[in-house]
Amino acid sequence: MDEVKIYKGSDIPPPPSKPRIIRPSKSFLWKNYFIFVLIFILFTISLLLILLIFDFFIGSSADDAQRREVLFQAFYWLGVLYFATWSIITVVYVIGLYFYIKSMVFSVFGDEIVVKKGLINKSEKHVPYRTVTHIDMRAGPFDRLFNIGTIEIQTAGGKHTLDEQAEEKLEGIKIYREVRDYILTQLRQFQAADGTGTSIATLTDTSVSKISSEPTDSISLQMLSELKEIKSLLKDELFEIESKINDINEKIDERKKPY
Amino acid sequence: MSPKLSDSEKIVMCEIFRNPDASLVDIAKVLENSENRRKTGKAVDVRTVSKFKSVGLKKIRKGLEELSDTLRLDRTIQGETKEEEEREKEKAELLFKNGILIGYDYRNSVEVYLFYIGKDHTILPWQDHQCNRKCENECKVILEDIKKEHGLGMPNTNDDIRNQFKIAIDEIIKRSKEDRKDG
Repeated sequence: MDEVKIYKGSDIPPPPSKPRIIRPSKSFLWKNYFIFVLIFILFTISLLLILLIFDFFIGSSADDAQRREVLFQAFYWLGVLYFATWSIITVVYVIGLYFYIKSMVFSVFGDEIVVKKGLINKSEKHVPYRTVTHIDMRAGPFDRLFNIGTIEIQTAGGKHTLDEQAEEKLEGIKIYREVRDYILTQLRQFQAADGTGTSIATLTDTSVSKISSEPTDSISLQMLSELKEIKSLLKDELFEIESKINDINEKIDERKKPY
Repeated sequence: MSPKLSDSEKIVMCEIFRNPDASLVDIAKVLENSENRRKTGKAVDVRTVSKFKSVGLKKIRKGLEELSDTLRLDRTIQGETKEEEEREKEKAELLFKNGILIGYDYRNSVEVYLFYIGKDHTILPWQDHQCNRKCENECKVILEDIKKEHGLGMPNTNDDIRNQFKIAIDEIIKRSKEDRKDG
């Protein structure tokens, strides 16, 4: 029997043999530090403005030097307290965020996405492909500034609505478009194999038998004879049904005849 | 895309890749007698060679990283456990020192090898694949270039080219590990 050779090849690459681990880029850390510094500057400027307004209305009305001195001392110690608090927050934030981002691991393998994160409370979330409804890609202005993006995974059983938060997020990824395409490919492969969702046909067999008009092996011949038998039986049945319909039609016509 | 190395750096790097056992004194002698250098015949001390080596490595590393970014490759160290991660990190570092970077192409789900070739002073990307008739000769040439670059005494077998690439990489890692132990 002739064989039609089909070369392996498809738009969809073969599934990976081992888990692919994805980690957030260093730029994600720098982005968060940048936002932190920005918040600090904005907060300080707004506080200074409030103090200036306060000084304008109360401080300027204070005529005697003693009251002005007290006010100056109060502002001075407030300033010291403010910067000391910010210094402590900065140290905790810088060290904590570094280790938090280091603990973030996204793994794509088999039929699920695993997201591990957490510094004090360590969490490990398994998102099975069969629950994934759609995948979003997000890159805000700060993300674009640092050439990173976020992939959001929405699931059917998620706690949040679509307008709110995603079930799981893969944050701070540099090649986020490629990673999103990779996850989508894995997802489609899973759906194609599982028979759910929009399946994409993949060629896995290296060869297929050529369809021949004349079967040669015994099983095929047996099958053919059985099919022919079924066909003849159906033909008889069909003939009987047709004759009955004709009889009924004739009776109807007779009834319609005027007396 | 090629890293911008000076003539002396190129010579030093080629010598280190070809013969990792060579001492800095030997490399200094090679550099002194090299015709490709601007100041031919001028004495070179060990400190200068060491400087050329570190600067050359830095430039090659930068070139490899830039090319991997251009090709949108993932350089994340793989490994589920801490030990595995450490091992992979060490492997990547050893390969970097030999002018090789292994990245992952998410679009095609394959590994991509970037090789610095001193002869042509360029970086060659090679995508992990089973060779067919069309690419077989081209891939063989790349493999030969890598063997020459790193002075690998691998025999020419009828083995799959893909396997030969992997064997070459393993050989380079093994050799570098031995050098580290000796050094």
